[in-house]
Amino acid sequence: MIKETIEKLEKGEISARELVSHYQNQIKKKDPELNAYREVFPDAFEEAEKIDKKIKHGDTPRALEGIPFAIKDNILIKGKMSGASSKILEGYTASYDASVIKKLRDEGAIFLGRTNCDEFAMGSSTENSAYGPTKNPADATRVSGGSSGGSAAAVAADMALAALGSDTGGSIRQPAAFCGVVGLKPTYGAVSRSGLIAMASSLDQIGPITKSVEDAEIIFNVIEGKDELDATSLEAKPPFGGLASKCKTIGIPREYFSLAEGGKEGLDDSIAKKFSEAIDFLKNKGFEIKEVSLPSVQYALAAYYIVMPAEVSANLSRFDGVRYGLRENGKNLFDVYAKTRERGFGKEVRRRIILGTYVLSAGYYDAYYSRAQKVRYMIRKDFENEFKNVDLLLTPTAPHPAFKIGEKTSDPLSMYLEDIYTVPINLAGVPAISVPFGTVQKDGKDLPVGIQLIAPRLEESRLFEVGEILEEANPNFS
Amino acid sequence: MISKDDIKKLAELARIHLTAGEEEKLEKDLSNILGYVEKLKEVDISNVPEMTHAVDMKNVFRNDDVRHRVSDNLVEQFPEEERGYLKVKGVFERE
Repeated sequence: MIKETIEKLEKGEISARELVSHYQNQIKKKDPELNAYREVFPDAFEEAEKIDKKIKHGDTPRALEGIPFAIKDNILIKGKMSGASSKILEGYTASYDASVIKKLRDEGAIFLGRTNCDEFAMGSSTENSAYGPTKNPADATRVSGGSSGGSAAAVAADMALAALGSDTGGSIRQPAAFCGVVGLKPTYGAVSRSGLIAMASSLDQIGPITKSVEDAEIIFNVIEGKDELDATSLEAKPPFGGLASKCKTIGIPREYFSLAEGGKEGLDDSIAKKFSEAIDFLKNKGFEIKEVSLPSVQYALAAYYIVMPAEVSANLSRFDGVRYGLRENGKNLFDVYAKTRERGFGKEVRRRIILGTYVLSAGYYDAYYSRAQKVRYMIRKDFENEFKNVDLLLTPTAPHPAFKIGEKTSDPLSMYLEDIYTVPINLAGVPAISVPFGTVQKDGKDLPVGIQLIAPRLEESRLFEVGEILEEANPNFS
Repeated sequence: MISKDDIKKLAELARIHLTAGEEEKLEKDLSNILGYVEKLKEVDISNVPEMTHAVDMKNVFRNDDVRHRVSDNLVEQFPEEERGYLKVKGVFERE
């Protein structure tokens, strides 16, 4: 898509202005129902005109010349409002560009608008947004997934050519799977987090949501790399990236899927069937499929629900009503803090802050946080061990197709369990991609299914290589 | 495993005002979530180090050069200001 679009721009078959106009029309038509966008930027045309001038002038197009992007509402764009879909940041205008935004801008990208998400990226359905849920383009009675649901729905409904999301426990991959698009969670540190509104800093990563694996690769190559504004960022050049096919063996973790039974407890039968088809498809393409074991991943979600809220409670202490955003009046300073945070934060955010405060409290540190960090180490080791035996791991992205709006809102734990296949990847810090693999029927609607490929650290090239093969299985879909 | 008093104390530490109804709901939610994470107690963690970072890096330095990254619109973000200064509640209260 990106390559073809740039070729058309270069040949003069289409202008950047026409592209922007196309997506804006789609947004006007579809977004009143879907609610993918928090805001559509009025200045996208100005950017498009600058790019059209450059192309007319004969300048060589850059990697993302004229490509219209949707950006998740927790990634800062200078001079634009940015609110992480929270009331506490209402009216806040970013004073600088996130490093990823600067990189996209430098390669000619155009920003169409910012997209809805679960408040501070906490959720798996966008139902925690202070501005209402984003609906699934395949069935508007269902969720788009989350937290980057707005970005995924925007790409799926052709309201943007590509998007950025952020992923702390599955927030790029799960909505991509629910909406039928590609979602990449890069290696921790591969993409700078400078300018991302922090949720859980040891887990957060920014990544692309796209219509094809190739597009995800193009965008990843633009946004990756060391950035001195993020001390945890890495030089992401893979040790032997870009070479001819090297992936031969694919592991299926038995904790997630039993090859003998063709399913697993907790995994929807229809997804299990599609997953078996994906395995067969890859076998036919010549890959060796091996059953592998990640014995500690059964504890991943429990460890995540200690580590993540602990980091959340620390990161979100900055939202206090003092320097920016919402400020509620109170009789003293404490009261200003407490009331601002009561009215500004939604239920799930408050729940996680309180939970994080609990697990970090004096006397509980060893029982919870320290123990969870040790289990996290064991999970990372599990992945490292199996990557000595296989080139990639394969799992479903989510245990079910998109669920109904309201179905899981009353029980936080059942919502958390939606992330069972995606969370261990963030804990281990390895990269993973969700690739669309056809649909399953529920209530007469065709709902997209995503398959997740997982690679060792900094081996994103393997995800692109096999991801492109996997998406061939459903050519009409991507 | 978690009492209403615990919730009150946590809310105070986290600087979040909670209504009585919400305290009750949180007591239940937190007990459920903590019940679920109990399963970590099954794991043998003896001789396992804590994974404190996703990336094994230490002491990442940069040159201490002056940079002009902060823009003047920070002042525009103030919820209350007076003569260009950020206005806040007094830290100390009068008797």
